[in-house]
Amino acid sequence: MTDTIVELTDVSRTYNGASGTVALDQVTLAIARGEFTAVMGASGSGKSTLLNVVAGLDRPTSGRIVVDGQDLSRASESDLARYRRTRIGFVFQFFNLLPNLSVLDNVMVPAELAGMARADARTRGRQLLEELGIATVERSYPTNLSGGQRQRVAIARALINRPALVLADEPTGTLDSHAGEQVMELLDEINNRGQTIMLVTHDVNLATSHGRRILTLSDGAMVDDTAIEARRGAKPADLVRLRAGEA
Amino acid sequence: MRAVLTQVRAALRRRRTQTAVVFIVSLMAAGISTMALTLLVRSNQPWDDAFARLNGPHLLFDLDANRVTPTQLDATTHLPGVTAAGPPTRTANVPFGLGGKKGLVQVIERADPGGSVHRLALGAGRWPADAGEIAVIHGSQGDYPILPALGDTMHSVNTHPVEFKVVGEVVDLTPNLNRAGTLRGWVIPGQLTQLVDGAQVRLGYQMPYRFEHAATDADLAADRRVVEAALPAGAETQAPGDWISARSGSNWLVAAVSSVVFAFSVFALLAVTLIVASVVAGSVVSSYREIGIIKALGFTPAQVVGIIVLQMAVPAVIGALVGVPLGSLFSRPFLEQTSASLHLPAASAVDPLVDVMVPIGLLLLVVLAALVPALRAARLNSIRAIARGSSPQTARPSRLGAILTRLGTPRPLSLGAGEAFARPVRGLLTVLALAIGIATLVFAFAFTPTIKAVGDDLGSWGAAGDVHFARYPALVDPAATALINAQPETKVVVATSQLPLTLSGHAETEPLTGMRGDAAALGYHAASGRWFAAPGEAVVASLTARDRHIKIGDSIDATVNGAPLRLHVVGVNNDIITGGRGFTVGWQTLAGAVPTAAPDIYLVNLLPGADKTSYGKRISAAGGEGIAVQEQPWAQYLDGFYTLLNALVGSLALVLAAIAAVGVFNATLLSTRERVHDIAVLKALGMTPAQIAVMAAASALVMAAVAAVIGIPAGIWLVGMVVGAMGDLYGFVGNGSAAIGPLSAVLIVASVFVVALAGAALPARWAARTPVTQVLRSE
Repeated sequence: MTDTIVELTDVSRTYNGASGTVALDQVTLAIARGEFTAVMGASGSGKSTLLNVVAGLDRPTSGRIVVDGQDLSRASESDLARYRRTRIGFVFQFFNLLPNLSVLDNVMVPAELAGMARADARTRGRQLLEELGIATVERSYPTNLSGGQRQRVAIARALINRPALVLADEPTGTLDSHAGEQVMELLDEINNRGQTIMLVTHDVNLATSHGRRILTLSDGAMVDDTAIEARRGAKPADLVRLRAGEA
Repeated sequence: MRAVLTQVRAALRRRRTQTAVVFIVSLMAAGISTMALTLLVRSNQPWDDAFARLNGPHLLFDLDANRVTPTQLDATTHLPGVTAAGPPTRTANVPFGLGGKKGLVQVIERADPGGSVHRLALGAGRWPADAGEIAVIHGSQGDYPILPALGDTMHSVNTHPVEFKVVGEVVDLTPNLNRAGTLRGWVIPGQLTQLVDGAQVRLGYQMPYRFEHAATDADLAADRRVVEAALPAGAETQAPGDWISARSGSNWLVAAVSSVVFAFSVFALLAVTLIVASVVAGSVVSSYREIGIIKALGFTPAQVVGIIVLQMAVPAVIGALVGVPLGSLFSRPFLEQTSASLHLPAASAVDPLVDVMVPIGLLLLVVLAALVPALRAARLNSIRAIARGSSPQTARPSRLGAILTRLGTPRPLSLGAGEAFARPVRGLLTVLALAIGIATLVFAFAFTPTIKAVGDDLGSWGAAGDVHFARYPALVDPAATALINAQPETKVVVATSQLPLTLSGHAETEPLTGMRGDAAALGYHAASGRWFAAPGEAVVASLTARDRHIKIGDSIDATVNGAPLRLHVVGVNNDIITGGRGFTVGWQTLAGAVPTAAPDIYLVNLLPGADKTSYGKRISAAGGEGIAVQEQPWAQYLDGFYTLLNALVGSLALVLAAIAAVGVFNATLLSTRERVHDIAVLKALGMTPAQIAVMAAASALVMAAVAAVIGIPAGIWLVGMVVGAMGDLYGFVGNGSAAIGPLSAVLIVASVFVVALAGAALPARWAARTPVTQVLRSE
């Protein structure tokens, strides 16, 4: 039996009331633990909304979302906050680092919010910065870093609480191709360590070269769910089985 | 111009919270300022009008008929600087009885209330026309032991009692302030002779003067010297009454109230200026893009300044227009109270000049406060402003935040606290506005208890002791003393007498009070130094000490009743009953100089459990016409004063606290708006709504803590200053800081944090509700 980490059942999200814009239209989806899933679609197709509802940043208008065993549909705002700090890591397109905190402090914030002792958070933060190759800038402030460095800091921040699920929304969107590639390799490494990745991108090459499964959205509806051959020895059969509704 | 107005209209509609902040603080400041200025300007109006109409005297001399003649007095009417004077009228201080009570009445012979100087107005009834008729000051003008009303019959308390029927009530603008409690009564000429009673009731003259220059205390002192130089030595029975003291005495309550309100209004205006400056600075920071666009569209820098300044000016003017009538309304009861006590028509609470000047002044302050950030906005490079998109991030790391983090403070607290001074100017403006609120809060806590401490020190009022008796000529001192001492409830008796003392080198007299008995046991004490203990030792009252440059340890040469007296000053005391003037000595000292002196007031402390009323009645009955209980109206008087002061200071402190809370609200709101992106990120990272609210409130708490460090000492200083000024006016030395005990300090600090949290509550709530996806998507 496959271990499902994300499960969406008939999830819809409508803005501006019932007759308003449909951002998600009855999406049903299951993502297995350890999977690297790329979500694609044109601008306004609902891919960021999908990521937001999975992250607990937005609530669906209808439907049910269960992530890592937690039913988000019934969670309070505080429950969702605790969920975000412990179960998921979020990597934004625009990094969203706090400008008045040093690199190390930025990385430590989610750990401290989760109640980790400050010394432990510092040790863990430094370890991540070391692993991501940016240990030398731990005292720097975000404004003094390059785009690639900022995104690495954001990834370190997303990983500090060892989340089961890492959500990345266009993480290379503002980076040059070299920096973008480095960030994607990092996500690959994270995935190889067993953490589930859900990547939103509009870049087909990026999606196909790193994702093992590609979900395509159009006008809020899931129009395609394709497992592609993994480059790092994943069994294609396993991926194919994970088409929507079959998990 | 139309384009500018369109922009202003749009901004007012869009920035409703900011508009409301400016409106509210302007309304409150305009209200307080109007009340303060109206009271200051109008409270003296009824008195001034009546004084001008009646050609009131600038100085009113009371003279001994044995030492000066009418001819000598007539000669003083032509002295340099005297514009009008006299004629002299015969007077005598006569004890009178009415309804079982007795009191001293200065009876004045006068054929009619007219004349060139010191005309009198009748409040009710008519002027005496026959023997046995008297017109008296209306009782509401002061606290008198007897309060005769029209139709009453009062009788003199002397060897041969004479009855007088009250036929008129007189409005006297210059009551006898030097002998508080002495009523004035007017009879037709020829009536006094029958009232004179040996050494106890002696004839005198009252002589009114008007001068060319009499606008200030210094003018009056110079005028007084001119007259005194022309009078025989020792002719004055007491210091002359002056129009400035009479005027301030007529509305001392409103004068005290208006000075407090005025101080508060200055603070309110200052706080409003700081808050408006903060609002405008915040508005400019958050409107970079918009300012860039309108400049790119062709608005000139002057038009940009106009748009920003008008955004502040419009709600400020509307707030002022609402606040001014409210201020007038609240000042009305105080004005009515002043007028009623003088039987004069109430001054209108609407003063056109004040009502125009307050909005104009407020508008000027607001425009000035808005101008600096507006000029900065006008200089913005439009391309850079548009490119920047929103307000510039404050990338500066917070030292306070870093320190708190190192100290292990929870992240929401350290992040929030670190933001308190992320924008130093705004932080400073808010802290100052808050500090002003705190200072007024301290004032509210400390002021009334300080005044009450002085008021409750009955020794300083000459009112210590459970029961007071006044002795009249029908009973000699030994008999009165024996009568009091014979009562089983009597514990301590202190007998006193007051005589005018002339310091060598000075023409003016000072009251010299002699005390026989254990005055300290009654509660008399020195505010500094010690109470007299040996013959020749004296305690000097605070204002005499100040004005005559007398220090503890000084020896002073003086004369009393023409006899030389050398006093060694051992202490300074509060003596409100004499207006902070004079000396207090032991009986041996007084009797050494004036062997014929006899006490006429007896202050008695009773044994525990004794009934004061029955005690007083028993002695009054036993002493017949020779002794009577002297009522002490002070306590009741003061209670009303404390209640009024508490209500007033409390209300004003609340208004200032509200203004401070609005300042905190504004600062937290601006900070929250500018940090909306960071807040959204923190929410995305897992910060709970409660933690977000704590973070937003933390910066307000830090500002409150800093403001408390500034505001509490400032408030204590303020109380000291105001109490000092009041002490100078009324004759006491008070210690404002003593009123701030540990409990008050805790309450003040708690109130400060409540005000700060109240101000931060709404923005913190809004911050907690920040829609993450919306904010992050808007990038």
